Amino acid sequence: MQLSPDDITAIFLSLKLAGTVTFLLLLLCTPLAWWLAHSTSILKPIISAFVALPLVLPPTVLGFYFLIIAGPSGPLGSLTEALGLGLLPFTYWGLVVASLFYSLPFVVQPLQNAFEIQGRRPMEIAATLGARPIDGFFSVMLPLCRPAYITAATLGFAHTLGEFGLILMMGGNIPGETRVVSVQIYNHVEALEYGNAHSLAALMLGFSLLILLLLYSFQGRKLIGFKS
Amino acid sequence: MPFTYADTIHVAVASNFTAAFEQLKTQFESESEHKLITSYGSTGKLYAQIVHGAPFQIFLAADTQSIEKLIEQKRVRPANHFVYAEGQLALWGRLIPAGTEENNTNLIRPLLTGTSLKKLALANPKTAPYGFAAQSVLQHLELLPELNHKLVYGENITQTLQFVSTGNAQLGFVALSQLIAKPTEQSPYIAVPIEFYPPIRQAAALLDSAQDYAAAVSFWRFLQSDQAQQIILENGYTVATSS
Repeated sequence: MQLSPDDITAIFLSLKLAGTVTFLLLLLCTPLAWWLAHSTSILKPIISAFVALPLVLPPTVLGFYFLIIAGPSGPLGSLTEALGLGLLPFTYWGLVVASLFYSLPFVVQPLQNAFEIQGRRPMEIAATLGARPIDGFFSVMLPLCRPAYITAATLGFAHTLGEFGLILMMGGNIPGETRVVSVQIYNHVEALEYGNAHSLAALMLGFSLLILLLLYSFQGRKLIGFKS
Repeated sequence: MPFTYADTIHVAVASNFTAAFEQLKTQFESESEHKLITSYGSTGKLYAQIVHGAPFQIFLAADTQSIEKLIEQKRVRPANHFVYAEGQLALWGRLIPAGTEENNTNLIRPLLTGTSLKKLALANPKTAPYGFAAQSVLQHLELLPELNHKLVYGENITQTLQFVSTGNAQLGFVALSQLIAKPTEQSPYIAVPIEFYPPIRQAAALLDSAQDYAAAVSFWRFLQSDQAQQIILENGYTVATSS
């Protein structure tokens, strides 16, 4: 294993980014997925389409528009500058905002499916037992949907960890700030440092495989549990 | 194969040279039956592709090292390479006052040390020759430690230009050739004095696999013609001194 201090910094940055994004996505996607699961609004197909966009768009498209929208002449850029936050591109929080959108469907969809499968019934029963909606959600719905939350968190985390094209477009390759593992691997390959690239790439492959293995073995057990 | 047949020639071209190459291609194709198929990319990526068997016959790199490596690996004969252009660096961005002349080099230091500069874009010094040159300029001016936290790196010189043209970086070191090529980017810039950085020598090679291929050889000769050198000059490069 050849890991330079820069490589270690990139690994911690990637983990921090994926962790932050997953946490924020779970918070944001719970109400969004709930609304999508239960709404009959005419807005639902439009919102659903926007949520699914990152699944089909190449990251370069997202990165390109992010640079424009979050730049000084774009609406998001004007807003962040007016709020005294400066511009988002080339910053860690810029990566967080872009990744929230990029990984959104991976968190929304498992939650939405779970809410749809459970239906309104558990909440109604909780209500007849005197639980307020919020109370019912936390003490009945959330435990019922725990497998979906684990799936959503794992996929959101793993997908953000594997993000590359978008970060390359708007990150600016800054050590400790926006130079995540995937970008660092790319740098090594471009600089013909294949040994370093290998170490990091193998680490990434092993780690991602491990996460998915854990997820699927957990899901397998849970499914059997449901049937009995 | 007689040269009167229309053949295709695969050429790999460093991305900074895109605009100049398009003109060379138009000129060559108007005089020849042959067609050029061009792949643009960073020198490192194109080099890796050639080593792994990409079917390029001619390679126009942004540096001399990658061509030297190909010579070491016996993929190119020493006689089949030359420096086709020397790149020039320009400082460009919204902070440069309207009406600034390109030779107004006294402005470089005050612009770089001003407080309005939040992000300074350059290409990745480790992988892009123009990035290395830009870093050398900052070292020459002894501003590297001071500006380190403001630097953002494009993966190649084209992306660096994009960082500046979207306004996300207020200034950036780009290739002079890019500014000359794009009329839409005709806002003021300053040409960085060539004493500030080591020369950006760009070398081309005719790959061994193509040296008996008449179409590739005819383009190789065209590249070295006065006519081609004139086009290269007009695109913001100095024509090479020998390597």
